[in-house]
Amino acid sequence: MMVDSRLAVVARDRKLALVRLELVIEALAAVGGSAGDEIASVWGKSAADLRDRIGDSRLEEWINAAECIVQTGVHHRYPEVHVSRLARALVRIATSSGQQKIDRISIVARAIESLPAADRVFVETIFSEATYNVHAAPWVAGLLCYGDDIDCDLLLSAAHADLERREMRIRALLGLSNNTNGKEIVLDLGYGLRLCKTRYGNRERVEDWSAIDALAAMSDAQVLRLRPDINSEVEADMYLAAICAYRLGDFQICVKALLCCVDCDDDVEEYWHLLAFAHRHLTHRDVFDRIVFGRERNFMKAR
Amino acid sequence: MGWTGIFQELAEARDSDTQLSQYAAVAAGLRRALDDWVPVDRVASYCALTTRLGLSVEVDCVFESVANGAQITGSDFAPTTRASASLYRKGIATSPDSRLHVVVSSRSEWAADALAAAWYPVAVESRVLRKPLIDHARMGRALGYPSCCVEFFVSHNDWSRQNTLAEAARRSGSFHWEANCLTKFTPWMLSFHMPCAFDCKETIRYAHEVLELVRTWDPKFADQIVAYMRRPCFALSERFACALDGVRPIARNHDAYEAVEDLCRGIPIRTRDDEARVQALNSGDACRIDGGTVYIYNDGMLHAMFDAKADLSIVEVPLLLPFE
Repeated sequence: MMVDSRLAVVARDRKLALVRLELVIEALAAVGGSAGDEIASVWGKSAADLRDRIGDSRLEEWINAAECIVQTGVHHRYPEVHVSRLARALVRIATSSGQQKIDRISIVARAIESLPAADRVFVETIFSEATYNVHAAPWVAGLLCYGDDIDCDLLLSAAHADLERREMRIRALLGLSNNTNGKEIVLDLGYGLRLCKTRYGNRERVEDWSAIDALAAMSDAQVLRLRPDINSEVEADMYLAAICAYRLGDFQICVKALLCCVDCDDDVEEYWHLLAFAHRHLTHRDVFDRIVFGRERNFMKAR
Repeated sequence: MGWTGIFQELAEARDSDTQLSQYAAVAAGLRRALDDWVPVDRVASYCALTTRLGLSVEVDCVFESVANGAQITGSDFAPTTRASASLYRKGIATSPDSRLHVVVSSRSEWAADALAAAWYPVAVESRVLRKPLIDHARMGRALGYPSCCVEFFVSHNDWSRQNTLAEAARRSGSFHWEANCLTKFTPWMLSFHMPCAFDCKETIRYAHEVLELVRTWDPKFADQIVAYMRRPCFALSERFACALDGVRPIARNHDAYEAVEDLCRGIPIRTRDDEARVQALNSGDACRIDGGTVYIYNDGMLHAMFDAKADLSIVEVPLLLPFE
């Protein structure tokens, strides 16, 4: 099974700055060499393909993430999680890349080397553990962990911190264990809101508006407090920004946020349909008609 | 009914005599806008008429009825609208029952405003496309419905879990005939929205304004509307309602009656059960509601009975609504 996993850890200091961390596997493969090939074989993906998708610059981000994982001690608490191949690959990458990060990577690699591999379990464990440590350690403001399987739409999970109230709201891996039919992805948007991604090819479901519908009962002030920064690069944040904007009637902002969402994942009916409705409110009926009736997609990306 | 004047023209142009009073209300500015379904082959004459009336028309899309048994994903979300939608183009070839969804207003900006939120849960490529809940509120406001009723609708319009008629009845201190929304699929109606209660002051006020307006256009029609709406009704849902003639209350939730008139025969979705239940009511002279069961009597003898359902994406609640 191909797994395209991402880890994003919210850490740093009490200012609660978000640290965006990128795809582990892609970061590894980006460095190239035999390690990239090994990772590619593990995840069933070509190294070249992965390498094309991410640059070397993101390796630093991933290392930060890995260090954070080690600090939480997840690998010690859950010895059944095996990531030795990942650890070995880390070392090889550090060695072959010639970057000055060998020590840091090695620490991470050694820490996780003995753990049994089961990628979903691994991610789940990291998530749970990090959640635990978030509550235990106030320097961690939150954690966002999600992933997807390109072919199977594997859900991982997501969580957000309610920064204003400094209260963690972790949605524990919704759908991770029971989403085996590859039909749905669920992203936790925080605040009890969820984005259920509906694929066009899934003919058994219609779009899920539960998140945006939940905003209908809120006051404008409440929605404004929820609305994240429009310039975020996190997909879930952008969707939350989009639905908040739609609820508030800021349709231009909604469109802008949704275009970022479809850049992240362009097979989500919720994104396209909300985009169509936003354009309808902007009296751009031609755009609405092309998306809804023509099922055109690429023309929006060119805008 | 033999319509005259502008009502006759509207009925002919639309091939329907429903909503006539609402056209008068929109033309007079009593409500901001209305939406309607016009036969595609009559669109040109319809637009000519509305232009002559000083009304602006915004075009949405073409509705075509979905054949029974057609596989539509998400049809549970469309309990009253079983249709597929397609893009409208002038000269487009459509089936005889195709209708163009339009929004009409006395002001173009109001029409555009209403159209923006006026998407219905219809099938596109065999999958129902719904709009977000907030657009129901926007549409209600754009159509000029009372804000209390818009808020009520947004809170309770969940067909598979709630019954809006029962909710409105529960909130009602009395049952005013002016708030009788069950006749909205007939020509004899004064409002199209679901009232938040059957004693909603805003709804009653609006109904009286429309009635007086209609009276200036066609006094006979106005009298007929009052007589038609001023009847007790039996209802299970917004999809099944009957007016009762010659009602004589026997006890709480137990009425004798002389005749039953089906108020929903014109809506697209009717099941065989619906027809059978109307027949059952018509075959009796009294009905009694006990929980979710309806007992029908004839000459004091139990003649028929049926249970309310909650398995067809709609929750039925038997109600006797004593509109006075």
